[in-house]
Amino acid sequence: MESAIISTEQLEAIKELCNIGVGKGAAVLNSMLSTHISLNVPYVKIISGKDFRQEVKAFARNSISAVELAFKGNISGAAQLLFPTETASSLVSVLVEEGDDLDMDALRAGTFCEVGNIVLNGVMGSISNILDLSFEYSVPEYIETHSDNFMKDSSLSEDSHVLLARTRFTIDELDIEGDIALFMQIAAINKLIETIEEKFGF
Amino acid sequence: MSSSKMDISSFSDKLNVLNYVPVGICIFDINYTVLFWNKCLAHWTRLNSSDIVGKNLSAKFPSIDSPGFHERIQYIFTGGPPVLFSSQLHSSIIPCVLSDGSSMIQKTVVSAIPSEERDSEYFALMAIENATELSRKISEYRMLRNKAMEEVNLRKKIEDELRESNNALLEHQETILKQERLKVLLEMAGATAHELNQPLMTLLGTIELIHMTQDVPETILGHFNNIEKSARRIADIVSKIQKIRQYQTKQYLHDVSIIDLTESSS
Repeated sequence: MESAIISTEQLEAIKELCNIGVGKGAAVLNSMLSTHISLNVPYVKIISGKDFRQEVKAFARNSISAVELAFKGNISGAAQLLFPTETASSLVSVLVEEGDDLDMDALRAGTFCEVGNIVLNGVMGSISNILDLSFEYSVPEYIETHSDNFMKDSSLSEDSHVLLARTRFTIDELDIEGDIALFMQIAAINKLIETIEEKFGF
Repeated sequence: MSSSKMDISSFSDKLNVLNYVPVGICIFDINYTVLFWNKCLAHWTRLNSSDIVGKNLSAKFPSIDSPGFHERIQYIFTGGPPVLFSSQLHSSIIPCVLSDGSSMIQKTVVSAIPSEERDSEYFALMAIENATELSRKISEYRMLRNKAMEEVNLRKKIEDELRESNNALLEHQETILKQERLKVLLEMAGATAHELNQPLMTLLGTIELIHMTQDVPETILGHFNNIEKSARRIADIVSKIQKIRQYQTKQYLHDVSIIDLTESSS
């Protein structure tokens, strides 16, 4: 399989783009909610779809909840915000000030979808604005499935490459981690790297 | 013709099909000027298309000035990603009153649609779903679930309390039984000691008199010594019986137990 060659500086640039994006997302969430939320991306990495499947299994042993935003344009793929379902449910509980131990019903899934929409829009907006890329987007979708079936139930394939950005959510007393994953074919990843090279000169 | 008027006439012809969908649809430009207002939204808001098209959405519905709304949809006008407003975080973007007088709960998605006339210009298409019934059903389900959980917890609590009361009752019964047993034992011991002491004193006194008697043959004296030893043992036993304060038993035969005099009197 063809693979992406990326330098440390380029990876740092992507991490910075993600941090700018999640920062915007946090600002929007803070303007809407009574709880204070801060988001940051401690690291990013590019891995194969197959390795990502293993990461997902290690990240969430049972059910996983994701918000998916598919995009087409100069670069095509899908962006996802993923959490183990229990963590996603705790996040929603804190945001809407509900008691814990509630099912991820349609209302709570809608709320999680909105949080994912805000964070992913921040990241995609940051990538498209700073790198001068334009995309056409689909309406964000909520996906909930067992981690074993995750690749099968989302619009991903093992031959995709994944730009994985670990995202830390700190909300008052709750400190949780989710993943932002950008799924792209290798050609799209290489195009992203090329664009970074053109923009930043490395 | 101004660009806004051009857009309005262009949309009203092309988007007529959206008048037949059960979703509220509104299209507005970057200045929040309404370009299209479908029949469903007109029905929900009781505001005809002619009353709002060409007017400012924010002026008609100040509720859209809620925190984060403008900030989130600003990128729509440059072709940014769709923006979701969930029913839990924003109960309604365009307030609508239902026939029963309650407020409609909405789920809203705002997407960018490109202008056909001008390149890199986008309009906002707001699609509003009536989520009232779903929200009510989920609220009802949650209430039922919480009630069922409360009942389960209450039942568990009652069962625990019942178990504790039962254990306390059994302990109390056991204590009463022990007290009764001890009472009977003490009465029996008192009576036994009292009844045995009289003949025992006579026995020991008589042996004392025999010892004081002259010319009693040695063999007979030996027998009397044995009788005296046994009488003194009986006296010790009677003394123990008098000192009984608790009920302690020991194994006698395989399925029979007897009072342990040493333990009971210590």
